[in-house]
Amino acid sequence: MHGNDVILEKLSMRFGDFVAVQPTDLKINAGEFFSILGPSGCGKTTILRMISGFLSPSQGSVVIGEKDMSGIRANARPTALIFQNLALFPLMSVRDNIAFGLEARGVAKKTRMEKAQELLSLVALDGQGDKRPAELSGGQRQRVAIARALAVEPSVLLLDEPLSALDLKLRQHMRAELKDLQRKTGVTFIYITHDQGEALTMSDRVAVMNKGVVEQVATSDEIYAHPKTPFVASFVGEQNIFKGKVVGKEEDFAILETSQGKFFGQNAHGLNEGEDAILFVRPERMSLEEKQGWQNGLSAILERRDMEGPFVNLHMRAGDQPVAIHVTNVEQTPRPLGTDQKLWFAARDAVVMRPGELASE
Amino acid sequence: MNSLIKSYGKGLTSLFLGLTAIWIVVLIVLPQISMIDRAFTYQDRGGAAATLAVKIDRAYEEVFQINTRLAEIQAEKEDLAAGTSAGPKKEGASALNPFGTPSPSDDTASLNPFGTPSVPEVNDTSDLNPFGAPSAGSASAVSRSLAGIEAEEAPLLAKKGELEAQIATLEAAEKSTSGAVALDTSYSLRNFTMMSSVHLQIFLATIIYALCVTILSFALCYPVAYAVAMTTNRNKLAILMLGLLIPYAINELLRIFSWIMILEKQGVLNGLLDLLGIINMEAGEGFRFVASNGAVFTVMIYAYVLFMVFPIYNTVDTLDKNQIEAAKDLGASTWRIHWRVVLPHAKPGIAVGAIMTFMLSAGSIAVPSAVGRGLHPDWFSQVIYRRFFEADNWNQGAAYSLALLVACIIFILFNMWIFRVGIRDIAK
Amino acid sequence: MTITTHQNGAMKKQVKSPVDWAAAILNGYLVIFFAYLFLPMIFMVIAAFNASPTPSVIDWQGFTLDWFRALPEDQRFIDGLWHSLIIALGVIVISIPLGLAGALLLSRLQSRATTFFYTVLVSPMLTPGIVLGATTLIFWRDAFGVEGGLLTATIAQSSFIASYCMLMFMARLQRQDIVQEEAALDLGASSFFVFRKITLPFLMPTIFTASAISFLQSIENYNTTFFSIGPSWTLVTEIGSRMRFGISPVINVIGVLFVAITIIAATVYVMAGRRKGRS
Repeated sequence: MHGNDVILEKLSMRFGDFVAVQPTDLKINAGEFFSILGPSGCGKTTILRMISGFLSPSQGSVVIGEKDMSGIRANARPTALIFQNLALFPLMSVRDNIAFGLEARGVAKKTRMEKAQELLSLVALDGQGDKRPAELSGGQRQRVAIARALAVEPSVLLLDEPLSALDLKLRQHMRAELKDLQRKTGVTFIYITHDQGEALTMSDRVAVMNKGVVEQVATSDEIYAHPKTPFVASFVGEQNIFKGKVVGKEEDFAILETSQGKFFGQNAHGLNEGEDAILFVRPERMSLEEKQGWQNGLSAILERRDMEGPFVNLHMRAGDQPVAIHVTNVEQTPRPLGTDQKLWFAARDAVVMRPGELASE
Repeated sequence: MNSLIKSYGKGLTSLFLGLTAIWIVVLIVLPQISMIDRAFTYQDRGGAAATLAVKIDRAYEEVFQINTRLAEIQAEKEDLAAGTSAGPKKEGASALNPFGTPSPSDDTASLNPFGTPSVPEVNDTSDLNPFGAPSAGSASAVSRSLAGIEAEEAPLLAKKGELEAQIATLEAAEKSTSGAVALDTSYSLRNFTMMSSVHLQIFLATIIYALCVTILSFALCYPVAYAVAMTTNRNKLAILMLGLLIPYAINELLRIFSWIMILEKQGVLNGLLDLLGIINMEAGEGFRFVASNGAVFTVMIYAYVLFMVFPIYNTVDTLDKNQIEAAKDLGASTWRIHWRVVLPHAKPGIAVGAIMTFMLSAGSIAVPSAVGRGLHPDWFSQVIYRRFFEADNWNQGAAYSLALLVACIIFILFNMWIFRVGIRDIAK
Repeated sequence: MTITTHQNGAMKKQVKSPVDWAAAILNGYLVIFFAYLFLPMIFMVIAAFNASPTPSVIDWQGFTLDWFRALPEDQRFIDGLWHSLIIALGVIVISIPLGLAGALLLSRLQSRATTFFYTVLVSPMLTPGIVLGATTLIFWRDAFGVEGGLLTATIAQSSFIASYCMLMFMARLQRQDIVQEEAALDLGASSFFVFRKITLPFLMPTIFTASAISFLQSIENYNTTFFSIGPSWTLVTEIGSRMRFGISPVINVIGVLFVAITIIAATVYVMAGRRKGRS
């Protein structure tokens, strides 16, 4: 098995007046684990269905392995799709499910049974081949779906939120397994999800989408640390948000005047003085202690303290503005509720952007 | 039982049990037992009393018919007297009447329960009309003069008097023998074994035709059920559902009747052939399609096809559409998708559709009796009807009904086995 | 940049999906199938307005409404309609309690016999109509000396219509949350009180639909009625005997009325279903 590049060229989709996907250019590398992350209705599933061939784009094209896929039906594309509900065939045995794609290609029974056996081993389901899908656990069914898709040796595997039906523990376990399978097979994985945890842990690169537009394509670290748009900043991870006006610039930093005082932050959009702006700082980047070179400080009242094991979440209020801080269990010192605290964060940990749409809470 | 009392309490539980028991015993089991009892009870129809009883019944029936006809003639006369022209209504009415048109053929005569003046033999086989198409029996009457009406009335009156006299003698004869010579009855298989080879042939032909109707209906319906189930556009779906529901809800007989308009000698089909220049209707050419078994067959498919569509639609509709896409995505051809994914899923629906269609067509009396009106070979349901109401041999009728029922049960069991479905999948 | 050239190409060509022959053939077939379903009825409706005394489409003798006037004067049809209504009401009165009792028992009876009773209770649905008619006729004559008539027809129809009712009630009961009942019992209500206040109201909508469906089934029934009604008649058996002994455009008129009523009812039903589906 091997992966192929997937290139989207000015790909767009309209349903009547509704634009599901704005013209999008995107290059997904061969053998990459690529995720498309976004809230429901952002157009990610539409993109997936255009790649798989179930939808014909309104405009633009999908190129897989240098071959333009326009006019090629789903059953003739080198892609295999894993459905959100898996769509296993309930009346066939697990083995027949896995061998179905080979059967459809007219592969001899002996060969396809051997291949099915091989795949059963690959997904660690030896000995389960004669069961019906309904007799398996959720995680096992997941693996059957993957084996079924891999049986036809696709160069691109498309996964449509396949983990969403599983419980949390299993989901976390399956993330590792999927990543592992992807490495073993070298197939290009395109993974659609609204769960940022999934996208960030598994992917080589992530595309964040909103309202039919791809807002940022980058590695997980990059997306988390350096979001490009207010939507990406607010959608991925938690943020404390301060609104204000730019009152000065200093190298790559902007100075923002807010209701809680002046804050320094990275000037991501190159804003000038006088412009409205918005500042994001992550809860774990804030501290109750002043550290060297941290220019930004504000005072807030401790309202609630949630103990989460390794972390402690402190919910505070600065004026009318809620502020959250995550501290590790190690560094925190218990303080009584209702006391006034001084909070600190570094300018390099905050980012200032032009106001835009935020992810809804 | 405890769970019932826990749910409903003693009083309600016994009420429900009582009602259900009445239903099972009085409406289902006892009638079946009576039928089975009769089916295995042989009555010696040669017995004098039996023959008498049959003759008396028949005579009464004829008198009743004559009276009905006389009343109509009276009405007709009044109309004429009132100066109203013999308008379309009356023409229509006389066209409806079996007496107005003496049947030219003996074959059809015995098919027509009211049209036969003589008492037919009791164990007859002549109620089969094996080969198709005698000449028209029911040409519509034209408007008639008063004289014409009276000409018809006179013999009827005479006949009526004759019959009434006959009844009196017969009843006297019956009274004298009453009690002494009852029907000789005994349990035996003779009601079945006595089934003449003609009746057996009809029985087998009916079963085979019903099977063909079932298979053809399936072939016709499956694409439709599939297409409707796959329709995602709400407006299109609503229109398609309406298109299926409307003919389904319209009465069976009217659906049959609508086809008679096509198959009649003066029907649409002959009209079409005339247009194409194949026949010349002006010259009186034309096929009597209604007189053929093919017509019964065609109309039967039309009448019962929708009983196949809905069960299949209902199951295909529950198929997860992703499964079809998954199969497609894995490279399956259309044919394979149906064979491996859609059809296996639709099995319970196919079983239900097949059972309903088979049962309706094997037991249909509406289609064969209405299409061609006795001009084509008999259907088994008609034979049963005649055993009951013409030959007045209820025991043999019961035996024949039982045979039909057994055929249906075998078909149901066969379907349950082949489609691997339980009774709960079938009756939902 | 290669993208730019591609871009122009992509912008120009409106990407067409490949011609889906399977879908095209299926659509074509649908059109033919619906023509097959509806053309005969259209002929039937047209012939109702033809002056020709034998119902015909091709032998056009002028437009007339005479057949519509003839119908209400036809006493046998009017009587038949009354008989049909009497039977239908009787069927509802018998079938609803029986079906309800059967459904309540079967849905709570936890026993191996359940499947057996289920089979017995649905068996009339799977029995040919003429057999139901014949058995009822035999039983009531042999056991009670009741001859074929409206009573036997009512009973024969009820035997299978009750099964339909039972299935509808069972489907409804399946969706009932048994916890409600238990909660009420727990609060000290009697079983009868629970039945009256919780179960019965829950089943009420189904009682209405089941009555409506029983009514329609009864009115439309031919095979069973034909065998069990003896010398009497209903609207439908009267149509049947007219059809056997020479057809008249009056039947077309009845057809037109049936078609009209059905179209209105079906349209209302589908529209109502859609509105419900949307909300």
